[in-house]
Amino acid sequence: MIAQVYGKRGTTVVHRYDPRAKTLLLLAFLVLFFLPIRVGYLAAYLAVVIALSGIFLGISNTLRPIRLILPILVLVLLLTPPFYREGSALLTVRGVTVLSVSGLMLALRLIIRFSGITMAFYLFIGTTDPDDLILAIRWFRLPFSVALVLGIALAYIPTILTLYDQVRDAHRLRLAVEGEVGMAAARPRKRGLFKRLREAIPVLTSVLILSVRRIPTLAMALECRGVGRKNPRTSYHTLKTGTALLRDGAIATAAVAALAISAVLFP
Amino acid sequence: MNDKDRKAGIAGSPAFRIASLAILTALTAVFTYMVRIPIARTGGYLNLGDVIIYFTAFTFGPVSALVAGGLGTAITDLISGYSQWAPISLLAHGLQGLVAGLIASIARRGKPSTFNPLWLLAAVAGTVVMAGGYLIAQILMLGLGAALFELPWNLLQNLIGLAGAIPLTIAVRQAYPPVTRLRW
Repeated sequence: MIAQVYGKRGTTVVHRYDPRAKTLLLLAFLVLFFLPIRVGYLAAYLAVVIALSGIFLGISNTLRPIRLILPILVLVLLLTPPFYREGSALLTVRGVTVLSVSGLMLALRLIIRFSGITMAFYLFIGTTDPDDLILAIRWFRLPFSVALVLGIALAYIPTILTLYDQVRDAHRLRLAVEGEVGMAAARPRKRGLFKRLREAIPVLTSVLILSVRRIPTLAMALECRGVGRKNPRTSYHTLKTGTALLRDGAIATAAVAALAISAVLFP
Repeated sequence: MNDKDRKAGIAGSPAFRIASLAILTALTAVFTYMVRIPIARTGGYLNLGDVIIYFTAFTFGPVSALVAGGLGTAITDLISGYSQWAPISLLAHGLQGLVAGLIASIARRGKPSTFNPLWLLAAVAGTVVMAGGYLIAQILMLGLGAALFELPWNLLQNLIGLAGAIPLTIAVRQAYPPVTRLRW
Protein backbone atom coordinates (compact mmCIF):
# COMPACT_ATOMS: atom_id res chain seq x y z
CA MET A 1 0.00 0.00 0.00
CA ILE A 2 2.58 2.48 1.16
CA ALA A 3 4.80 1.67 -1.84
CA GLN A 4 2.53 3.91 -3.89
CA VAL A 5 3.46 6.89 -1.72
CA TYR A 6 6.52 6.02 0.35
CA GLY A 7 9.93 6.68 -1.12
CA LYS A 8 8.74 8.81 -4.04
CA ARG A 9 10.42 12.14 -4.58
CA GLY A 10 7.68 14.70 -5.09
CA THR A 11 7.85 18.22 -6.42
CA THR A 12 5.28 19.88 -4.15
CA VAL A 13 6.16 22.46 -1.50
CA VAL A 14 5.65 19.93 1.29
CA HIS A 15 7.81 17.30 -0.47
CA ARG A 16 10.63 19.86 -0.81
CA TYR A 17 10.19 21.16 2.74
CA ASP A 18 13.12 20.43 5.06
CA PRO A 19 12.66 17.05 6.85
CA ARG A 20 14.04 18.43 10.15
CA ALA A 21 11.43 21.20 10.19
CA LYS A 22 8.82 18.63 9.15
CA THR A 23 9.82 16.46 12.12
CA LEU A 24 9.24 19.43 14.43
CA LEU A 25 5.78 19.96 12.94
CA LEU A 26 4.96 16.25 13.23
CA LEU A 27 5.85 16.29 16.93
CA ALA A 28 3.74 19.43 17.46
CA PHE A 29 0.69 17.78 15.87
CA LEU A 30 1.23 14.56 17.85
CA VAL A 31 1.30 16.54 21.11
CA LEU A 32 -1.74 18.52 20.00
CA PHE A 33 -3.86 15.38 19.52
CA PHE A 34 -3.11 14.34 23.11
CA LEU A 35 -4.04 17.70 24.66
CA PRO A 36 -7.32 17.89 26.65
CA ILE A 37 -8.96 20.41 24.33
CA ARG A 38 -12.52 20.34 23.01
CA VAL A 39 -13.45 17.56 20.60
CA GLY A 40 -14.70 20.10 18.05
CA TYR A 41 -11.32 21.86 17.94
CA LEU A 42 -9.50 18.53 17.70
CA ALA A 43 -11.74 17.66 14.74
CA ALA A 44 -10.73 20.97 13.13
CA TYR A 45 -7.01 20.12 13.51
CA LEU A 46 -7.71 16.67 12.04
CA ALA A 47 -9.48 18.34 9.11
CA VAL A 48 -6.37 20.49 8.51
CA VAL A 49 -4.10 17.42 8.41
CA ILE A 50 -6.51 15.53 6.10
CA ALA A 51 -6.79 18.58 3.83
CA LEU A 52 -2.99 18.88 3.62
CA SER A 53 -2.74 15.18 2.82
CA GLY A 54 -5.44 15.48 0.16
CA ILE A 55 -3.71 18.45 -1.47
CA PHE A 56 -0.15 17.11 -1.43
CA LEU A 57 -0.63 13.33 -1.69
CA GLY A 58 -3.89 13.15 -3.60
CA ILE A 59 -7.41 12.17 -2.57
CA SER A 60 -7.06 8.43 -3.32
CA ASN A 61 -3.79 8.21 -1.36
CA THR A 62 -5.40 10.03 1.57
CA LEU A 63 -8.31 7.58 1.68
CA ARG A 64 -5.98 4.56 1.96
CA PRO A 65 -4.86 4.99 5.61
CA ILE A 66 -8.43 5.91 6.58
CA ARG A 67 -9.68 2.64 5.06
CA LEU A 68 -6.88 0.77 6.88
CA ILE A 69 -7.80 2.11 10.33
CA LEU A 70 -11.57 2.05 9.82
CA PRO A 71 -12.11 -1.35 11.56
CA ILE A 72 -10.18 -0.22 14.62
CA LEU A 73 -12.15 3.07 14.73
CA VAL A 74 -15.40 1.08 14.72
CA LEU A 75 -13.96 -1.04 17.53
CA VAL A 76 -13.16 2.09 19.57
CA LEU A 77 -16.68 3.44 19.01
CA LEU A 78 -18.23 0.16 20.17
CA LEU A 79 -15.92 -0.70 23.06
CA THR A 80 -15.14 2.66 24.69
CA PRO A 81 -18.61 3.80 25.92
CA PRO A 82 -19.28 0.68 28.05
CA PHE A 83 -16.16 1.48 30.11
CA TYR A 84 -17.16 5.13 30.74
CA ARG A 85 -20.81 5.42 31.80
CA GLU A 86 -20.70 8.47 34.07
CA GLY A 87 -22.70 11.63 33.30
CA SER A 88 -26.06 12.00 31.61
CA ALA A 89 -27.35 8.81 30.04
CA LEU A 90 -28.23 8.53 26.37
CA LEU A 91 -29.31 4.90 26.44
CA THR A 92 -30.37 2.80 29.43
CA VAL A 93 -31.39 -0.85 29.55
CA ARG A 94 -33.33 -1.92 32.68
CA GLY A 95 -32.01 1.04 34.63
CA VAL A 96 -28.37 0.40 33.66
CA THR A 97 -26.64 3.10 31.63
CA VAL A 98 -25.31 1.58 28.42
CA LEU A 99 -24.35 4.80 26.64
CA SER A 100 -23.61 8.14 28.23
CA VAL A 101 -22.67 11.52 26.77
CA SER A 102 -19.20 11.44 28.36
CA GLY A 103 -18.57 7.90 27.05
CA LEU A 104 -19.60 8.90 23.54
CA MET A 105 -17.47 12.06 23.68
CA LEU A 106 -14.48 10.07 24.88
CA ALA A 107 -14.96 7.57 22.03
CA LEU A 108 -15.06 10.50 19.55
CA ARG A 109 -11.95 12.03 21.13
CA LEU A 110 -10.06 8.73 20.81
CA ILE A 111 -11.21 8.29 17.21
CA ILE A 112 -10.04 11.80 16.29
CA ARG A 113 -6.77 11.31 18.19
CA PHE A 114 -5.95 8.01 16.47
CA SER A 115 -7.01 9.33 13.04
CA GLY A 116 -4.95 12.48 13.60
CA ILE A 117 -1.83 10.58 14.62
CA THR A 118 -2.26 8.21 11.67
CA MET A 119 -2.76 11.01 9.13
CA ALA A 120 0.10 13.13 10.53
CA PHE A 121 2.50 10.20 10.26
CA TYR A 122 1.17 9.31 6.81
CA LEU A 123 1.65 12.85 5.53
CA PHE A 124 5.15 12.99 7.02
CA ILE A 125 6.28 9.63 5.62
CA GLY A 126 4.52 10.16 2.29
CA THR A 127 6.23 13.50 1.63
CA THR A 128 9.71 12.67 2.95
CA ASP A 129 12.33 10.90 0.88
CA PRO A 130 13.82 7.93 2.85
CA ASP A 131 17.39 9.19 2.26
CA ASP A 132 16.43 12.63 3.58
CA LEU A 133 14.75 10.99 6.54
CA ILE A 134 17.95 9.12 7.46
CA LEU A 135 19.99 12.33 7.04
CA ALA A 136 17.51 14.19 9.25
CA ILE A 137 17.77 11.48 11.90
CA ARG A 138 21.56 11.82 11.73
CA TRP A 139 21.21 15.60 12.14
CA PHE A 140 19.32 14.90 15.37
CA ARG A 141 22.55 13.24 16.62
CA LEU A 142 21.62 9.64 15.81
CA PRO A 143 24.97 7.78 15.47
CA PHE A 144 26.17 7.12 11.92
CA SER A 145 26.30 3.37 12.62
CA VAL A 146 22.57 3.27 13.47
CA ALA A 147 21.71 5.22 10.32
CA LEU A 148 23.89 2.81 8.32
CA VAL A 149 22.13 -0.22 9.86
CA LEU A 150 18.82 1.33 8.88
CA GLY A 151 19.97 2.07 5.33
CA ILE A 152 21.46 -1.41 4.74
CA ALA A 153 18.42 -3.11 6.25
CA LEU A 154 16.10 -1.20 3.91
CA ALA A 155 18.28 -2.20 0.97
CA TYR A 156 18.35 -5.87 2.03
CA ILE A 157 14.60 -6.32 2.52
CA PRO A 158 13.89 -6.99 -1.20
CA THR A 159 16.89 -9.35 -1.37
CA ILE A 160 15.71 -11.43 1.58
CA LEU A 161 12.17 -11.38 0.27
CA THR A 162 13.32 -12.77 -3.08
CA LEU A 163 15.35 -15.37 -1.21
CA TYR A 164 12.28 -16.34 0.84
CA ASP A 165 10.17 -16.78 -2.30
CA GLN A 166 12.83 -18.93 -3.97
CA VAL A 167 13.33 -21.15 -0.91
CA ARG A 168 9.57 -21.52 -0.37
CA ASP A 169 9.01 -22.52 -3.98
CA ALA A 170 11.88 -25.01 -3.83
CA HIS A 171 10.48 -26.58 -0.65
CA ARG A 172 6.95 -26.74 -2.09
CA LEU A 173 8.17 -28.62 -5.13
CA ARG A 174 10.05 -31.09 -2.96
CA LEU A 175 6.94 -31.73 -0.83
CA ALA A 176 4.84 -32.90 -3.81
CA VAL A 177 2.33 -35.59 -2.83
CA GLU A 178 1.97 -38.73 -4.84
CA GLY A 179 -0.38 -38.29 -7.77
CA GLU A 180 -0.06 -34.51 -7.84
CA VAL A 181 2.30 -32.92 -10.28
CA GLY A 182 3.20 -29.41 -11.35
CA MET A 183 1.15 -26.55 -9.87
CA ALA A 184 -1.25 -28.95 -8.14
CA ALA A 185 1.62 -30.25 -6.04
CA ALA A 186 2.76 -26.74 -5.16
CA ARG A 187 -0.70 -25.54 -4.15
CA PRO A 188 -1.04 -25.00 -0.36
CA ARG A 189 -3.38 -27.41 1.44
CA LYS A 190 -5.73 -26.59 4.33
CA ARG A 191 -4.11 -27.34 7.70
CA GLY A 192 -4.22 -26.17 11.33
CA LEU A 193 -2.33 -23.12 12.51
CA PHE A 194 0.41 -24.89 14.47
CA LYS A 195 0.77 -27.58 11.79
CA ARG A 196 1.33 -24.87 9.21
CA LEU A 197 3.85 -23.22 11.51
CA ARG A 198 5.67 -26.55 11.91
CA GLU A 199 5.69 -27.05 8.15
CA ALA A 200 7.09 -23.53 7.71
CA ILE A 201 10.12 -24.24 9.94
CA PRO A 202 12.25 -25.90 7.18
CA VAL A 203 11.67 -22.93 4.86
CA LEU A 204 12.44 -20.41 7.61
CA THR A 205 15.55 -22.39 8.62
CA SER A 206 16.88 -22.27 5.07
CA VAL A 207 16.15 -18.55 4.71
CA LEU A 208 17.83 -17.78 8.03
CA ILE A 209 20.94 -19.81 7.24
CA LEU A 210 21.29 -18.29 3.77
CA SER A 211 20.83 -14.82 5.25
CA VAL A 212 23.20 -15.06 8.21
CA ARG A 213 25.88 -16.55 5.96
CA ARG A 214 25.96 -13.17 4.22
CA ILE A 215 26.98 -11.37 7.42
CA PRO A 216 30.79 -11.98 7.18
CA THR A 217 30.81 -11.07 3.47
CA LEU A 218 28.84 -7.88 4.11
CA ALA A 219 31.12 -7.03 7.04
CA MET A 220 34.20 -7.37 4.83
CA ALA A 221 32.59 -5.18 2.18
CA LEU A 222 31.89 -2.53 4.82
CA GLU A 223 35.45 -2.72 6.13
CA CYS A 224 36.74 -2.22 2.60
CA ARG A 225 34.65 0.96 2.45
CA GLY A 226 36.22 2.27 5.65
CA VAL A 227 33.32 1.64 8.00
CA GLY A 228 34.57 1.49 11.58
CA ARG A 229 37.23 4.17 11.22
CA LYS A 230 37.11 7.09 13.63
CA ASN A 231 37.26 9.91 11.09
CA PRO A 232 33.92 11.69 10.46
CA ARG A 233 31.83 10.42 7.56
CA THR A 234 30.73 12.61 4.72
CA SER A 235 27.68 12.20 2.52
CA TYR A 236 27.22 12.90 -1.17
CA HIS A 237 23.57 13.72 -0.60
CA THR A 238 23.10 16.57 1.91
CA LEU A 239 20.20 18.43 3.47
CA LYS A 240 19.41 22.12 3.00
CA THR A 241 21.74 24.67 4.58
CA GLY A 242 21.86 28.47 4.93
CA THR A 243 18.87 30.61 3.93
CA ALA A 244 16.69 27.67 2.83
CA LEU A 245 17.11 25.96 6.20
CA LEU A 246 16.45 29.22 8.06
CA ARG A 247 13.29 29.83 6.02
CA ASP A 248 11.91 26.31 6.59
CA GLY A 249 12.87 26.45 10.27
CA ALA A 250 11.16 29.83 10.70
CA ILE A 251 7.97 28.52 9.05
CA ALA A 252 7.96 25.47 11.33
CA THR A 253 8.57 27.60 14.44
CA ALA A 254 5.77 30.00 13.46
CA ALA A 255 3.40 27.06 12.80
CA VAL A 256 4.23 25.44 16.17
CA ALA A 257 3.71 28.80 17.92
CA ALA A 258 0.36 29.25 16.13
CA LEU A 259 -0.73 25.75 17.20
CA ALA A 260 0.33 26.43 20.79
CA ILE A 261 -1.54 29.78 20.88
CA SER A 262 -4.68 28.24 19.33
CA ALA A 263 -4.56 25.41 21.89
CA VAL A 264 -4.39 27.98 24.71
CA LEU A 265 -7.05 30.30 23.27
CA PHE A 266 -9.49 27.52 22.32
CA PRO A 267 -9.13 24.87 25.04
CA MET B 1 42.70 -17.82 5.02
CA ASN B 2 39.80 -20.24 5.50
CA ASP B 3 36.22 -19.34 6.33
CA LYS B 4 36.64 -20.03 10.05
CA ASP B 5 39.71 -17.79 10.44
CA ARG B 6 38.14 -15.06 8.39
CA LYS B 7 35.04 -15.00 10.63
CA ALA B 8 37.11 -15.14 13.83
CA GLY B 9 39.15 -12.16 12.64
CA ILE B 10 36.27 -9.96 11.63
CA ALA B 11 33.69 -10.83 14.33
CA GLY B 12 33.46 -8.07 16.89
CA SER B 13 34.66 -5.32 14.56
CA PRO B 14 32.33 -2.32 14.06
CA ALA B 15 31.74 -3.39 10.45
CA PHE B 16 30.74 -6.87 11.56
CA ARG B 17 28.34 -5.50 14.16
CA ILE B 18 26.72 -3.19 11.62
CA ALA B 19 26.46 -6.02 9.07
CA SER B 20 24.89 -8.47 11.52
CA LEU B 21 22.45 -5.90 12.88
CA ALA B 22 21.44 -4.84 9.36
CA ILE B 23 20.81 -8.41 8.17
CA LEU B 24 18.90 -9.33 11.33
CA THR B 25 16.85 -6.13 11.09
CA ALA B 26 15.97 -6.89 7.46
CA LEU B 27 15.07 -10.47 8.44
CA THR B 28 12.78 -9.19 11.20
CA ALA B 29 11.08 -6.79 8.79
CA VAL B 30 10.58 -9.53 6.16
CA PHE B 31 9.28 -12.06 8.70
CA THR B 32 6.90 -9.47 10.15
CA TYR B 33 5.52 -8.04 6.93
CA MET B 34 5.85 -10.68 4.27
CA VAL B 35 5.74 -14.02 6.03
CA ARG B 36 2.18 -14.37 7.29
CA ILE B 37 0.07 -17.29 8.40
CA PRO B 38 -3.58 -16.55 7.53
CA ILE B 39 -6.19 -17.37 10.16
CA ALA B 40 -8.84 -19.36 8.32
CA ARG B 41 -12.00 -17.47 7.30
CA THR B 42 -11.53 -14.50 9.63
CA GLY B 43 -9.42 -12.68 7.06
CA GLY B 44 -6.82 -11.87 9.70
CA TYR B 45 -3.26 -13.16 9.87
CA LEU B 46 -0.49 -13.84 12.30
CA ASN B 47 2.98 -12.62 11.45
CA LEU B 48 6.23 -14.31 12.34
CA GLY B 49 8.06 -11.23 13.60
CA ASP B 50 8.24 -12.56 17.15
CA VAL B 51 9.76 -15.81 15.87
CA ILE B 52 12.79 -13.95 14.51
CA ILE B 53 13.00 -11.65 17.56
CA TYR B 54 13.22 -14.64 19.91
CA PHE B 55 15.60 -16.44 17.52
CA THR B 56 17.85 -13.36 17.55
CA ALA B 57 17.63 -13.09 21.34
CA PHE B 58 18.53 -16.78 21.83
CA THR B 59 21.27 -16.89 19.21
CA PHE B 60 22.74 -13.40 18.84
CA GLY B 61 22.16 -11.90 22.29
CA PRO B 62 20.31 -8.97 23.86
CA VAL B 63 21.85 -6.04 21.95
CA SER B 64 21.20 -7.61 18.55
CA ALA B 65 17.64 -8.50 19.59
CA LEU B 66 17.08 -4.96 20.89
CA VAL B 67 18.16 -3.33 17.62
CA ALA B 68 16.81 -5.92 15.17
CA GLY B 69 13.50 -6.32 17.03
CA GLY B 70 12.89 -2.60 17.43
CA LEU B 71 14.11 -1.36 14.06
CA GLY B 72 12.77 -4.33 12.07
CA THR B 73 9.21 -4.02 13.32
CA ALA B 74 9.32 -0.20 13.08
CA ILE B 75 10.42 -0.46 9.43
CA THR B 76 7.55 -2.87 8.81
CA ASP B 77 5.08 -0.41 10.30
CA LEU B 78 6.48 2.37 8.11
CA ILE B 79 6.35 0.44 4.86
CA SER B 80 3.00 -1.23 5.47
CA GLY B 81 1.03 1.94 6.18
CA TYR B 82 0.86 1.68 9.97
CA SER B 83 3.47 4.36 10.62
CA GLN B 84 1.60 5.62 13.69
CA TRP B 85 2.64 2.40 15.46
CA ALA B 86 6.34 2.65 14.46
CA PRO B 87 7.60 4.45 17.62
CA ILE B 88 5.63 2.04 19.82
CA SER B 89 6.89 -1.02 17.94
CA LEU B 90 10.43 0.34 18.17
CA LEU B 91 10.19 0.48 21.96
CA ALA B 92 7.95 -2.51 22.70
CA HIS B 93 9.63 -5.04 20.38
CA GLY B 94 13.10 -3.63 21.10
CA LEU B 95 12.63 -4.08 24.85
CA GLN B 96 11.04 -7.49 24.23
CA GLY B 97 14.21 -8.60 22.43
CA LEU B 98 16.48 -7.04 25.04
CA VAL B 99 14.75 -8.68 28.00
CA ALA B 100 14.48 -12.08 26.26
CA GLY B 101 18.12 -11.83 25.18
CA LEU B 102 19.36 -10.93 28.66
CA ILE B 103 17.59 -13.90 30.24
CA ALA B 104 18.62 -16.24 27.42
CA SER B 105 22.24 -15.11 27.89
CA ILE B 106 22.25 -16.73 31.32
CA ALA B 107 21.46 -20.01 29.60
CA ARG B 108 24.35 -20.01 27.15
CA ARG B 109 26.30 -22.83 28.78
CA GLY B 110 25.80 -26.36 27.46
CA LYS B 111 25.44 -27.72 23.94
CA PRO B 112 24.37 -24.88 21.65
CA SER B 113 22.04 -27.06 19.58
CA THR B 114 19.88 -28.34 22.45
CA PHE B 115 16.78 -26.86 24.02
CA ASN B 116 17.32 -24.78 27.13
CA PRO B 117 14.38 -24.37 29.54
CA LEU B 118 15.44 -20.80 30.32
CA TRP B 119 14.31 -19.86 26.80
CA LEU B 120 10.73 -20.30 28.05
CA LEU B 121 11.33 -17.85 30.90
CA ALA B 122 13.00 -15.45 28.46
CA ALA B 123 9.98 -15.61 26.15
CA VAL B 124 7.50 -15.12 29.00
CA ALA B 125 9.39 -12.02 30.17
CA GLY B 126 9.58 -10.78 26.57
CA THR B 127 5.85 -11.33 26.15
CA VAL B 128 5.05 -9.34 29.31
CA VAL B 129 7.22 -6.44 28.14
CA MET B 130 5.86 -6.41 24.57
CA ALA B 131 2.19 -6.94 25.41
CA GLY B 132 2.44 -4.50 28.32
CA GLY B 133 4.05 -1.84 26.13
CA TYR B 134 1.36 -2.17 23.48
CA LEU B 135 -1.39 -2.21 26.11
CA ILE B 136 -0.21 1.10 27.61
CA ALA B 137 0.14 2.72 24.18
CA GLN B 138 -3.25 1.42 23.04
CA ILE B 139 -4.98 2.66 26.19
CA LEU B 140 -3.56 6.13 25.45
CA MET B 141 -4.47 6.08 21.76
CA LEU B 142 -7.53 3.84 21.52
CA GLY B 143 -8.98 3.65 25.03
CA LEU B 144 -9.30 0.76 27.46
CA GLY B 145 -11.97 -1.20 25.59
CA ALA B 146 -10.10 -1.53 22.30
CA ALA B 147 -6.80 -2.04 24.12
CA LEU B 148 -8.20 -4.99 26.08
CA PHE B 149 -9.65 -6.42 22.85
CA GLU B 150 -6.20 -6.36 21.25
CA LEU B 151 -4.39 -7.93 24.23
CA PRO B 152 -5.24 -11.62 23.56
CA TRP B 153 -4.05 -11.25 19.96
CA ASN B 154 -0.71 -9.86 21.14
CA LEU B 155 -0.38 -12.78 23.56
CA LEU B 156 -1.25 -15.28 20.81
CA GLN B 157 1.30 -13.59 18.56
CA ASN B 158 3.96 -14.17 21.21
CA LEU B 159 2.88 -17.77 21.73
CA ILE B 160 3.32 -18.33 17.99
CA GLY B 161 6.69 -16.57 18.26
CA LEU B 162 7.86 -18.89 21.00
CA ALA B 163 6.41 -22.02 19.33
CA GLY B 164 8.31 -21.15 16.17
CA ALA B 165 11.51 -19.73 17.65
CA ILE B 166 12.54 -22.76 19.73
CA PRO B 167 12.51 -25.38 16.91
CA LEU B 168 13.91 -22.77 14.51
CA THR B 169 16.83 -21.95 16.81
CA ILE B 170 17.66 -25.62 17.30
CA ALA B 171 17.28 -26.39 13.58
CA VAL B 172 19.52 -23.49 12.50
CA ARG B 173 22.19 -24.37 15.08
CA GLN B 174 22.16 -28.02 13.98
CA ALA B 175 22.20 -27.27 10.27
CA TYR B 176 24.69 -24.40 10.49
CA PRO B 177 26.82 -24.67 13.68
CA PRO B 178 29.01 -21.60 12.83
CA VAL B 179 25.97 -19.41 13.56
CA THR B 180 26.89 -19.44 17.27
CA ARG B 181 30.26 -17.82 16.41
CA LEU B 182 28.50 -14.89 14.77
CA ARG B 183 27.35 -13.68 18.20
CA TRP B 184 29.21 -10.62 19.57
